[in-house]
Amino acid sequence: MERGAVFLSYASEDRPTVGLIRDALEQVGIDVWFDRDELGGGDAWKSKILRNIESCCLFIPIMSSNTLTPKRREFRTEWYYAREEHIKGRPDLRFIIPVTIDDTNAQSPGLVSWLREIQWVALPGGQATPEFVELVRTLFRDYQRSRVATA
Amino acid sequence: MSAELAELIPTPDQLRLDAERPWPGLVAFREADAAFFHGRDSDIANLYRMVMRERLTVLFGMSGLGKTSLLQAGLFPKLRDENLLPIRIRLDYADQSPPLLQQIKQAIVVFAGAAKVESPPVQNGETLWEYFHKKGAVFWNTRNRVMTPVLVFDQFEEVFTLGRDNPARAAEIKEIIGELADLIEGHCPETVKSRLDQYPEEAQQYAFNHHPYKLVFSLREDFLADFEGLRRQIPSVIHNRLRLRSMHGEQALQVVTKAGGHLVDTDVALAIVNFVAAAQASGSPLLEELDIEPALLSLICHELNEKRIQIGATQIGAALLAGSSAEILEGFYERCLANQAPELRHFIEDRLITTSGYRDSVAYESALETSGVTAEMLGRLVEQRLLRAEDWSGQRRIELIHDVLTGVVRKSRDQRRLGEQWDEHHEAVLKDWRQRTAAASEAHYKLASSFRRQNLVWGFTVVIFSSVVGASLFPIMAVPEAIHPVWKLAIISISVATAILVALQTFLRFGERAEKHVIAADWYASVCRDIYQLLAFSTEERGSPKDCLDRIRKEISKIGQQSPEIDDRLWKVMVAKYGVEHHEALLKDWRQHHEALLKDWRQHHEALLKDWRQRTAAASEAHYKLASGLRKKNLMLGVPLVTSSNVVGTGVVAVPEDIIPPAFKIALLLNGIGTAILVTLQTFLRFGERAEKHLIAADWYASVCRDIDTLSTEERARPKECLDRIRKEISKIRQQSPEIGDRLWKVMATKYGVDIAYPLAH
Repeated sequence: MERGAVFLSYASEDRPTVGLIRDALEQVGIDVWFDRDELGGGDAWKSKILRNIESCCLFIPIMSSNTLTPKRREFRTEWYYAREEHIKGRPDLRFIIPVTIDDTNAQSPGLVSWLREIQWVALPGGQATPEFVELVRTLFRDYQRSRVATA
Repeated sequence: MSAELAELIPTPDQLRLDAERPWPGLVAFREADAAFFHGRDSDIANLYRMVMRERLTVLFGMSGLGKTSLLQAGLFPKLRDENLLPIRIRLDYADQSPPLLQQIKQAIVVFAGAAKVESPPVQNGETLWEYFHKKGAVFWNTRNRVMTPVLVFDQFEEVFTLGRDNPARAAEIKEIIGELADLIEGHCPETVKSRLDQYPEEAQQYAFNHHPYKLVFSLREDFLADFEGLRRQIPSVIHNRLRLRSMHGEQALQVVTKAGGHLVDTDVALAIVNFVAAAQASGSPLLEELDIEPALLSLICHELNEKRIQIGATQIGAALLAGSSAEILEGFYERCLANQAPELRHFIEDRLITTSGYRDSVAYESALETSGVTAEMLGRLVEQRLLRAEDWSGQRRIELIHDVLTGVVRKSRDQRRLGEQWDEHHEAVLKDWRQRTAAASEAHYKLASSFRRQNLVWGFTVVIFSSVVGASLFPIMAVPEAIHPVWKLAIISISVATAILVALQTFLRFGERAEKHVIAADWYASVCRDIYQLLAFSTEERGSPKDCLDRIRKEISKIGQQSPEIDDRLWKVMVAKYGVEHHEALLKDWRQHHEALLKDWRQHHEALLKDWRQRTAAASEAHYKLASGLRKKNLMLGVPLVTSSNVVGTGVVAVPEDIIPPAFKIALLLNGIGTAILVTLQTFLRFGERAEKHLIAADWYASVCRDIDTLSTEERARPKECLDRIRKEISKIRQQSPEIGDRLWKVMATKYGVDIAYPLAH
């Protein structure tokens, strides 16, 4: 993954819809990490996921009815790592922006409690709004600028 | 500029290199040509490293080493790979161009736009420091990466050439140097500091310690001293510098083979490299020791390749390499201008280089206002890559494509200007001299022929006589009693006559004089041919009229001094045959023609010069007359002397005592006395020697007279210097010449209209 990319975390059932969001972001020049499948499985997968989350500029969990399951799914591991990174590495920055693509919202049952405390963005059917794209671009650029400043 | 005019100027795409044409000639490699740019790998790496290391990088090198190519095709692609935005700036110092600061800001906007980079908005009245130090002033590329702008000032030496030539820009240049100094050194400008002192809250807008930009100055090495003069204001100018050197043979070989390996085999590639190296007189046989100017190499490769395309060959063969690289350069220039209106050449030579020979540019619209220069012509020269049309600050300008051409253009201009100095008078003088030398040559040939004939007749007579004497002497000596006295007397008379003839032959030197006349005739004929050839040349080819006429004049004077005299009668015949005009008529024409040019020549200088001219002409003629008279006297004294002395000699020695009647003895005695008197007179009067001296003086005066007739306007513009020189020359002749005598001088003075009461020359 390109360092500083936007990490899209989603349930594999939502992949086609999330693809729309990825396209909208990539269209304005934002690097997006999307292809989780390429990492394979097992311990190697976990360490790569962890590394990618540490090096991304923004973590966007895509929320839908498919993510309300209490089962052990890959996206739940990603949420966990992102939460860790936010608390330990970037407590003052806006690092996690949950995006809902259906009726799911912060009050929906089955969610981990800390996700309820963060402001969500609603993009029904994966249709990215200009405001959302601009918000992501601003955060992406802030990250890029901080990299140049510390280089 | 109208759209249809714009179409006549090829766009950069039309001039882009491809595999068929991989060498740009004198055009600098552009970023798009990076694939064809070879031989500078280490320079690119060094330059890139230096740019990344410091805020300011200075690239310098002699003209023709490819600084612009190195920047555009070498550095720029690497910078872009690393999220740096190269902004090439070439400041335009022409009167009608926008302010320099505005040009820089405009270049930033243009280059950012072309690279699809989002740049901070430019605001009027803002300094460059404010522009780059404003918080949030970030250059973003389409992938939302921060781009660091790199202001690349190409041909920065023009600050010291074109900038200085334009006084209106002087204050602005000072200001822009100040702006650049603040950027480079990271100092907040004084004007901004004062404002922030007044409004401290505005300080929040700026990031004082963050300098998100870089600068590169590229300039010619010969302006390095001027550039270093800026170090008080910009201490960084003496650090982080890269000196670009000429290529060695290996690098040059890469230029030929890597870019166009399919068009040339290794042997020919080596031959091309050696050919270019030889043109620069490095002469080293080792490839790595060769010293090669890349611009010249590129031009030669380009020209050879064009020849290859023209003849439809697949490769450049060794046979195409003919002539020298200097000839290729001149040939390239001349070929571009072949069959073009002379006005186009004048435009290029008068407007596209400065007086001192530096490259200059002209606004395209202004170029088209030049009489005889059309858009088609300019378009063609741009296509041929002699000229470049480039948009500077929104204005299209025309310039020579490369500095390497300035030498050729300047040479052509200077040659042309020398040619333009030729006027009707110079032409008339040259024609007059041509006729005079032709007339003199024929006269000398005639004299030589006449003397040879006399020599032959004389010699034949002597041979016959001496044979008769020789054949008769034996019987006289052997059997004197058998010879009748009358026969004896006849033979004695023939002996005396033979002796006289031999002595006169020695005295009159017919053969020797004939030889001298032949030499003079040949010499005059050679000068005459020279003049014919000059008249056939164009005025450009003849060079400066002063130098040309001086050379011929000196040659004629030299022949005059070293040649025998042509007598007046023959000269008059020749003058009539060749229609030689009198100098006075030429001088009159010349005065009328140059009247306008002689404003500064004060009246009395003119009168003085005219007087001297007439005096030298009069003195020359007087000396010729005296020389001629003295020679005649010499002959009149010499012939009787030789005759009488031979009569005495042969009479005393050869005639037997017994047959001499007493009266003859008395006659011989008187003849002996007369001979002694003649010898004494000859020694005392020195007619021959005096004639020679007069002849030398006559030639010398004639030479000064011709000098005055051919004085150039430039010389006449400095009357003191000019008159001093002529005066000294006249005084020198006067001191070293014999007297003319009042009577003859009066005659000559009257003939030439010289005031006798004002004895300048006599």
